[in-house]
Amino acid sequence: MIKSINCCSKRNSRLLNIKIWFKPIVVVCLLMLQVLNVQAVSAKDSVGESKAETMQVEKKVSGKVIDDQGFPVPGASVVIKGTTIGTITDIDGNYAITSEIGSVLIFSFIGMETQEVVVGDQSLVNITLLTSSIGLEEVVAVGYGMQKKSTMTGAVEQVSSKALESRAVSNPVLALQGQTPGLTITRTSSRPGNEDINMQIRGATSVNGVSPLVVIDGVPAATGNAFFSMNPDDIETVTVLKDGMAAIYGSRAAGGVILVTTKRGKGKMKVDYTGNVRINTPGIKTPTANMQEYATLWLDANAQETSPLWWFAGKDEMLRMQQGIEGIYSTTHWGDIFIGQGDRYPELFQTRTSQQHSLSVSGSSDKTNYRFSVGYANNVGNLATAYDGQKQYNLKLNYDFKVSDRITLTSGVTYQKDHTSSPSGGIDWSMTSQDPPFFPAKNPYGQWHSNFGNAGNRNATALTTDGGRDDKYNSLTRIDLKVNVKLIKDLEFESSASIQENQFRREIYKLTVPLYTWDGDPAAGSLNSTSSISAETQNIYYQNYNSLLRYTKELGNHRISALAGVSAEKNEFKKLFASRSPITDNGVYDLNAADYTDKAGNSGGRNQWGLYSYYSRLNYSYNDTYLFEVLGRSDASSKFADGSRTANFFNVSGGWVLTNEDFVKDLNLSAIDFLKLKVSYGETGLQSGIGLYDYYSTIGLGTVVLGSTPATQPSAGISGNGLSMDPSTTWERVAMKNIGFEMRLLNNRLSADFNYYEKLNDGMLIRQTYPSILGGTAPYSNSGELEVKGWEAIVNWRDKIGDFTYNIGFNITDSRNKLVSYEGATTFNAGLNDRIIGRPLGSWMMYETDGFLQSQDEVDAYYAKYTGGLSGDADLTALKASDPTATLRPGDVKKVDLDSNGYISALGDPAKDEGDLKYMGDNAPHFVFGLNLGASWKGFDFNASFQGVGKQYIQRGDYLAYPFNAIWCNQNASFIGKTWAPENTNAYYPRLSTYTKRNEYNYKNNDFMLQNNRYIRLKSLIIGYTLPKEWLAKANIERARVFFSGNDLWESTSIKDGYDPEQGMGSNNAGYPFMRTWSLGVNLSF
Amino acid sequence: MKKISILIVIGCLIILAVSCRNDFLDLAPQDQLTEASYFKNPDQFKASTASFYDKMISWKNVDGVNVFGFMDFGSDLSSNVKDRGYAGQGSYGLGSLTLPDNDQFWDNSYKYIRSVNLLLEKARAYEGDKDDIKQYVAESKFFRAWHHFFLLQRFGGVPIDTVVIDLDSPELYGARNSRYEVVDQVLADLNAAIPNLPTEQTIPDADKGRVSKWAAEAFKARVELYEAAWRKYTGTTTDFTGSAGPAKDQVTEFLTDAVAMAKDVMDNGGYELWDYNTGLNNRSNFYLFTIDGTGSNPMGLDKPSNKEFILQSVYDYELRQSAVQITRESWRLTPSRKLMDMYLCTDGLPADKSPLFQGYSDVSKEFENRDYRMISNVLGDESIPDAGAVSLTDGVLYGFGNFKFTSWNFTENSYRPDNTESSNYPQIRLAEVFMIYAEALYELNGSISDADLDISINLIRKRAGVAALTNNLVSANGLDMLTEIRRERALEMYSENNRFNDLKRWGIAETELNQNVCGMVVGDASYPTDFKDAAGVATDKYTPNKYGYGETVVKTADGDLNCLVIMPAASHDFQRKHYLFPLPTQQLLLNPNLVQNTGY
Repeated sequence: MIKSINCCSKRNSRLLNIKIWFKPIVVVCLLMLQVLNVQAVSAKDSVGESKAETMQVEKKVSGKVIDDQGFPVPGASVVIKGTTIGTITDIDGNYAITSEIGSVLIFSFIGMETQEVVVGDQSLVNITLLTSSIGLEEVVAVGYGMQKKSTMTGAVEQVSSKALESRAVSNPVLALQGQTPGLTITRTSSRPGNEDINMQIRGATSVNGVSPLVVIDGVPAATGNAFFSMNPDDIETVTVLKDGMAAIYGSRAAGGVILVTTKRGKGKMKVDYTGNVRINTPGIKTPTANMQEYATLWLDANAQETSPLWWFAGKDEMLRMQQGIEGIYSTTHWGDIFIGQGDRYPELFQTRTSQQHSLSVSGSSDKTNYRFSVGYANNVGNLATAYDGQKQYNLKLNYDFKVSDRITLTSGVTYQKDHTSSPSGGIDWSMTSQDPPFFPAKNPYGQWHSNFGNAGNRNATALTTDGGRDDKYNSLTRIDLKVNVKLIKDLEFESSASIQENQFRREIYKLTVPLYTWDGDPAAGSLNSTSSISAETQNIYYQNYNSLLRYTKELGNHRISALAGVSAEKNEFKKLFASRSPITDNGVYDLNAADYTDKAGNSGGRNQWGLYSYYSRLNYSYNDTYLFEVLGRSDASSKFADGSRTANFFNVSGGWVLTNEDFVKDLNLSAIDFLKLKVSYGETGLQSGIGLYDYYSTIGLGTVVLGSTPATQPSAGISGNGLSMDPSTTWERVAMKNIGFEMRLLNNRLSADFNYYEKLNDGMLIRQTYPSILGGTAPYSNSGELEVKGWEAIVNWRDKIGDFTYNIGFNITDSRNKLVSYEGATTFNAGLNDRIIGRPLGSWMMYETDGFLQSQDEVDAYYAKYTGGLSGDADLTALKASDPTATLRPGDVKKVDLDSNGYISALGDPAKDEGDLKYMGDNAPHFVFGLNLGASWKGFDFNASFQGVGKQYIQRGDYLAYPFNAIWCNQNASFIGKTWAPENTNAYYPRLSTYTKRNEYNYKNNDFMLQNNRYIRLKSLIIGYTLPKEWLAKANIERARVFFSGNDLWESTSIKDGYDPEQGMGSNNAGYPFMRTWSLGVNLSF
Repeated sequence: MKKISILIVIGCLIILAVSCRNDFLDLAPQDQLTEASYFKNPDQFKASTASFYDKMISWKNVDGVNVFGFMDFGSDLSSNVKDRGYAGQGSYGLGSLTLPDNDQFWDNSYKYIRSVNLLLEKARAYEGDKDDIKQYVAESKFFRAWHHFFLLQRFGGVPIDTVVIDLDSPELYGARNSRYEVVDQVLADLNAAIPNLPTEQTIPDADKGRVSKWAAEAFKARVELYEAAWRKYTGTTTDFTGSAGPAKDQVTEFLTDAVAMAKDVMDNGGYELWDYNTGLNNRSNFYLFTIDGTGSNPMGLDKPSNKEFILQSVYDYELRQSAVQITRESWRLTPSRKLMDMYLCTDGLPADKSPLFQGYSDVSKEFENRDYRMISNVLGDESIPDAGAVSLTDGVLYGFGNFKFTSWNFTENSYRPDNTESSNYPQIRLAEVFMIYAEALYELNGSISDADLDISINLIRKRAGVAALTNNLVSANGLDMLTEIRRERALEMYSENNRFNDLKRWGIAETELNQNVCGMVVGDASYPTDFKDAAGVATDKYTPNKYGYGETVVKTADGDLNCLVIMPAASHDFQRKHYLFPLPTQQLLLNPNLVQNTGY
């Protein structure tokens, strides 16, 4: 319907070129590998024979693996080099293996340095594995396979299960905050199940907002909840792919990829229990005023007015309120009403307790390994009046079975359920912000009290207590099956299927809660004046099939590994909704039990999407010194029209381990143990901005009401007013460049990693702004361009002094973006601008101020200077000198006429540098950092994890942004004493006023209102003690540890107006405090 | 054996995966109809035009807009001049207008026009009998005219939009059309629509609310009178720089046709004034606007009893509630001193001329012997306040209420709680057609006969309990016929979004708006009232220092008297440029061919 005028021909030709050569290559690769299969299988016999010959020089070797502190290392792997034959140490670190004389045993364990030992005559080989601060021998998940960290060329970070251990959180994402640079995790609330978590890898990638792709055990998670509700105790590692290496996941990888690997059984059977009980206390109190503070603000404000505005009472009444006197007040709007202490905060929030338990049984034998775990958690928010929290139930079974020497079957069964239960209303800005704080929740008769005497219809305490419930359930069932077949020595085939079914159910019932006046009469208003019940189900059925061939070969110093595969995914979604209204409260809350007289509603909905992809990767390394990798993926997506369905993505990277070079060794730089340089260039895709069927023009159906006796009639319209997507529109493509180094120093005690990156999204899906006469919103087209640059650094120090080991780690990242092109985004408004060409996303354009008008003379001079203005939102003509409700007075702000055109105005042509707005930074978090401190001594261990943001500009928004933004709501008490007054002329803020027009001029979008949201918060503090073994032996307990674990116990912030630094810019819904968690827990192993 | 089985398994898996590729990719929408399969039968055209009806601005918020952005807030008739929350209407009356980046009325209008143009495009491509869909084509053209006229009233000449615009259409960057071209387009669409629209009499009950031939004619008469008066009194003073002038003098043509259109509706429309004065204690003018189920008035009259509304936005308590606080919002539309004094006495004379007027010595007095519309609008169903019943002690209220559009029994038994009020909103009603008829006729001829008054304005006056307007009454009492016709319009159409438009087309907005807006007469020693005693001292009913603007002497129906000031004349600065709203600056930047209105 709409012709595109924005095709970028250069871009298309590039795409075309890739298309021409990429697909044949993939196909040829696959065919070649398939031919290899056949040969491989036919070659099997000869392999088997040669093996049989060597059987005669077998030698049994056994021993114990201990760490540098003498503790046994269970679960360490012992492998005969060049084979896949191997075993794992048991709980006491013991192993036994049958090998051949002359062969080499490789001992390895995550986080320790790998050792190789040549098998000689000895049958007892004890090994001490040194702790590796560098983790260079770590094997890291990289998508469809694993790689050794030391020879990796991409920007990848791995977080081990250690970061999740003993944390008093049941959502693993929250435990990752501050753990790895480049992955920024934010939340705007600590209400369990309602945290509003946002994950972002390496800052912004697109104006469309991008979340990382979460891949759990090799398969993308069907819902965000699949990750959030995992049992943290089931997680072995979390790996973050940050650069072009993520391109192996193609069209969904531009936001980076998070790979989660779950634990599998190892060694002899072991039963582990970990659990904690916790106390959640309210953290920073929301700065809303109580009755006295509220009255103080009014009195202070009107003290500055020639024509005071008292809204509902007078000065005398306010003076009484300031003294906290409760009683009947005469008001102009509501007659004689009772006014008393009605601060909701203390009655709505209190300390609550929560708990979390996890039990697992794991082990392995020659042929199988298994791990079975169950988890339960109950997290409760600080709401005092009713339950507001989330319960979580987890069950997981990983079971692997060796069918034969060549065939391994891997399986996983997951069931996880979360149930978030909250009051159906009242957890919003009516809690502490919307109404003045002087309506007690109950009258003397114990009835729920109406706000504003007879008139009101709000009372958050009543509504959260008696107004009904909102219950959300997610239950995810997931089954994974994978078969791995070793075709020949170097070639294996892997095929997997994963099915995930998530059932979401939401049930809401809202009950009418009558309100009463102070005298006990029924009030006119009630809560939920129309009662209702509704139920909704959403079903997601996700299938993922994957087949690949993996080839690894070592020839002398040459090491080659290659991979090629095909994957198919399909996601089906169905929805059903039903409601009845009004209902009688008979204590049973189901649609069936709800009589209804007025309305019954229902609706449905379904959709699906699919993806079909080929991918391949080739790694080559020489002497572990020169490293090279190339990978590619071809994705076809159902979201695009046939013909523009397919796109190809790739990454090329290289690395150079300088410390392996002779000329470097010759320098004898004893301090440097390891140094690797790496560089990569890749292109990944992004489709988050596109709907499922944008290339179809659809009809939106509805109803209208017509008729002399009104009745509904069908109505219809073309969706998007006929402005549907051009069929040539396709994915966003993000080019990613990365350059970095990894360094290990001072006997591997110090490690330092650094990456610098650039991202260029030059086909960003945007809706261009056209003149409104178009009659609708322009469809998405690939016509925006965003440039991102940033860096990450990690420094870790680890050492021991006698029995005392300790480590300090610091990581920090910053990302800066610039909108290079975006048609129509040349203009800007005062305040926050989502997009301005040449500036970062979320730019602040503020008025510059020059202090306050200190005297009437200054006021007069100011008016005289800036009378001629046209208009604008800072227009002085709107603040007429003749209007006492608007005229400027001493204590008001002096805005600066930046373009010297004789009037103060936001307007003007930005291209000509006109207008009085100044760019003052962006609203993204910068210098996001984490600081981790750890120590252990004898049985004690200590871990503290800090997280914070170095720079982020925010301006408080909503009604409580500044005093008397609106006169009818509660006010922010933190402004008391900080505003201009004749006796406080050096104040930070201008004077208070009860006139909103002037307050807008004085506060909104002025430079001093921008706050740096800098903070550092003690995210986690863990102190544990492992009981001596001798105490436990009799009880058959392998290991016992007790610990204290706390979350968010302390913070320091530069926020000036009293809000929690993590909650974001809003002020309306900020009644609910962030919680602090204090827990006691225990780990037991049997 | 094993080898073979492995081979088979591998082969099968690969073949399976590759062969079903399309099962993963060819996925069409499952819960939506597609455009390609629609617009194939008349019912689908009917459904598509149905979506135009809730785009007429009325109670419910649609695209961020409802009628409380208009009403008469901030006008000279209302004492609510400070409420600026309603699309700036309050400050608009003060002549305080800021240049907006964007204007939702501009954006929404073009959005609605596009959906009309889309339907017309589909209609042209319709392969069935075009006669089956001619009604829907006509309705579409009516709405295209409706939205263009809305733009004209707000902005003057605007770009005319009659095609479905593509991203590369030149129309995107077109210049403004002159107001004269816009009016021609509006009338052309209405002329095309009228012959194909059904008469009200043939519209089935279930479809009532859809545009009838009469509705289109009445609307056309409204447009013609509006534009004829504008050209006569305001002229080209508001035309933007570079605007073409009128191609020819169309004033007489417009007025002649307006009279004819109005007459056709009056004669053949079958509409009747809703007059149940006998059963409703003479408060028809109150209950008419709040019909909303049988509990909405003492006589149990429901919506089908209303034959007065010619075009209405339909609401229903069960099916479509207003979702706004109609009652509470309407309460705020309190009358000004000026409006209170404009109401007639029952003898048909203005209060300042009528011997029946009782003065202001107590608050009951000014209601005596007055127009039922004053009683209905200011008191609803309540009785006239007793002496001393009104207090001016809070600094907020000015002594009068507004009940037009508010629900009956709202506070007593909450018949319709907040946000559930569901009375129909009148877009065009018969009373307006009567007034168009009278005004157009007078403007056309400079006079109007008693007979013509009797078939129009006097029917309204009869319902209002006011004696007929006759040429005799005018001459005998030194009145001016045009002033009386205009007065009638102000009183009858109060709060129906007419006042600003009327003042502007009469060219008198500056004079009428830049005056003191006052509330109660408080009097002084020489004129004691409930609020001042014979010594001129404030009584316990009045706390002067609570009222920031104090008192001033203004002309009232009983001479120059001391009144409470709500907004002083000095705070008003309504200028000629304010007759039109500024174009949103964002649009000027996006399309350099657009010219801003003069003075901004």
